[in-house]
Amino acid sequence: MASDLTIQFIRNYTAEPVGEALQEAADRLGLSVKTVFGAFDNLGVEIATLATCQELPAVVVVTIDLEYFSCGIFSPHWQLEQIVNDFNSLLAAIDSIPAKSFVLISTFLPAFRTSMPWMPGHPVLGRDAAAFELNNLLRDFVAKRPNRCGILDFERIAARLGEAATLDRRFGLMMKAPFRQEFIVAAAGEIIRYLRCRFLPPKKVLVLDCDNTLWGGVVGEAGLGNIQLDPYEYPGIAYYRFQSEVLAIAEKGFLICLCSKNDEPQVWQVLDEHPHCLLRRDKIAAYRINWENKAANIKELALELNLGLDSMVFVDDNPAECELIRSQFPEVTVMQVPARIYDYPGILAASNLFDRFSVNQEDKDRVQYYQAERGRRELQTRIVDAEGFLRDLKMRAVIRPVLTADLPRAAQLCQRTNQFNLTSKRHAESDLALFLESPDVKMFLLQAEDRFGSMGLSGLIILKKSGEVVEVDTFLMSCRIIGRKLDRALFCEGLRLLSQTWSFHEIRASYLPTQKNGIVSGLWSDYGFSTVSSASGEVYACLVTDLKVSFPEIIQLVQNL
Amino acid sequence: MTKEEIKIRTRAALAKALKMAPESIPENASKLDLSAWDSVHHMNVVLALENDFGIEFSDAELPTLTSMPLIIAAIEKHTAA
Repeated sequence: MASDLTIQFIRNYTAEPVGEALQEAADRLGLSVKTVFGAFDNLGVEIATLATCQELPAVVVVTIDLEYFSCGIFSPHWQLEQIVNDFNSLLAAIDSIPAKSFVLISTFLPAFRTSMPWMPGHPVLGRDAAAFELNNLLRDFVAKRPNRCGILDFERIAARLGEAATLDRRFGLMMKAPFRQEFIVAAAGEIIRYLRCRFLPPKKVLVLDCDNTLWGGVVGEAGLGNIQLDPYEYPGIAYYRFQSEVLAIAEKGFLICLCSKNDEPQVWQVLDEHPHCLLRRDKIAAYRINWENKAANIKELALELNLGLDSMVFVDDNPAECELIRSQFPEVTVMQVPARIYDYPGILAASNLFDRFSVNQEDKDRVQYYQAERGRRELQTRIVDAEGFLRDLKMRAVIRPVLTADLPRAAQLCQRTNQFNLTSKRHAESDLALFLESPDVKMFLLQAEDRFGSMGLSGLIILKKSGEVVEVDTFLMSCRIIGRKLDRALFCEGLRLLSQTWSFHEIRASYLPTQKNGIVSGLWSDYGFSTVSSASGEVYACLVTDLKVSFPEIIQLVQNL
Repeated sequence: MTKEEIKIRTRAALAKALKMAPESIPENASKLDLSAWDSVHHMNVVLALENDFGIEFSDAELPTLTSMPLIIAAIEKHTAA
């Protein structure tokens, strides 16, 4: 989807092998990446150039080898104070890189061995002191700049791989290329994690089998008291730890579903009554607990949640079930419970599929929205007439300008929304922050609820002014509220609010088709727009007086929810 | 190991390290002729050869490994021993 992301390396050692490994890993993911290496060991100038650069790279990787930084730790003139000062100056320079580029900065490696005597009060010397100080400064710097900077944690990679797989003494001294291939691949993998979060469609749903996946044993045979699930005893502890990992993922806004061949009451008995079951019923967004084919069940879950199969990760212990899903739905990521059950805890984190930049209240509440949706569906099956169903929902909506505090959620909507998204522009939080400051851009959010509960902040429209014409830059609605006429509410009220400050007579809009947004292909025509060109996507225009869209009377506009 | 075998495996290692097709690497290929064979990729070449043949070049050998024939000669010394 994204094309030619430029990734610029600013470094004081031979980091080209990391670039090469990154290129290969990106190719495998279908990301088109271009790596650029600035002049060798020219950190300050390279960073300063970026501050005034016209075409900014998507990502800047700043990676520094302590051995050659500042006065160099092997110099007789080495001074911790000097290194700290120089690093602070470098961070100040990094701060001037425009927010359009995300900056990843690698942590410094402490020594693999300490010099004795190592005791309390012993002055911390050399490399360890510098690595410790600089990493603290770096972590503090990055923590204050979420969405602008990230850590590339070389220290952690080195700890994981060990000295032999990290350092290449020969090429380190000969060519200033200090890292072994294993480390290089892992470092590239960390950069990929960031790219995946930012530029690839995220996973949203974790579908779990139950027997031998959430607990050891078969509950239908062993009974509630004899399944393996325990905070202390092996092997139950492995399942307990896995469940704890699942909970952490649910907290990040992933939807947890069950797909199990079982009698339903027995599964709920474990979730409701087992003393050590961490995953309770209220965490389950949807489920298929029956004796049907799992491929059919997974497809139904996708339909029920209104999410694509490609947003799903499926975990099962049965190789046949795993193979079935892999072959039927290659877009679903399938993970099989490892045979050595002590390897089980941690497999979700190690997959890097559940990374998220940030977590907000919407993420934490997401499961409730889907549970409320189940209630709505039951109502819908009772009321046949669609208009009557919508009226019976008693929808209420707040439509208001985007505020600074909304930026993380607004950016998340831009990143995640695939179906009801007219232009699919993947604006980052930094882009939206610039819009917020611009006098020629207005952004409005929709927050809605009905009698089944809140639907959260789930619609966004971004409007740009160009003379007497208003252009719809972005118009999207979260998939959970499609088909409720809330889009009409957002569009009409957005324009009404706009007309209080801007005067305009014409609206221009576009529809950029993707594989997933066919649902809105006819939206602009429905609203009364006519096509003006279709050279790059489809461009529409409409005079304000010709609009055929009005605020739906079934939705009550309110100031607060 | 015959000289021919060494030649085939050297060419394959060069191709892998330089990301080129083996057939596009001539028998007398040298660092001077192949633009992909720069100093950064020379590390890849050395590592690929060492991995493939299970040998380790000495400091003295490293600067001499600048063409297919010179590499083959160096590997012959290692594998003959």
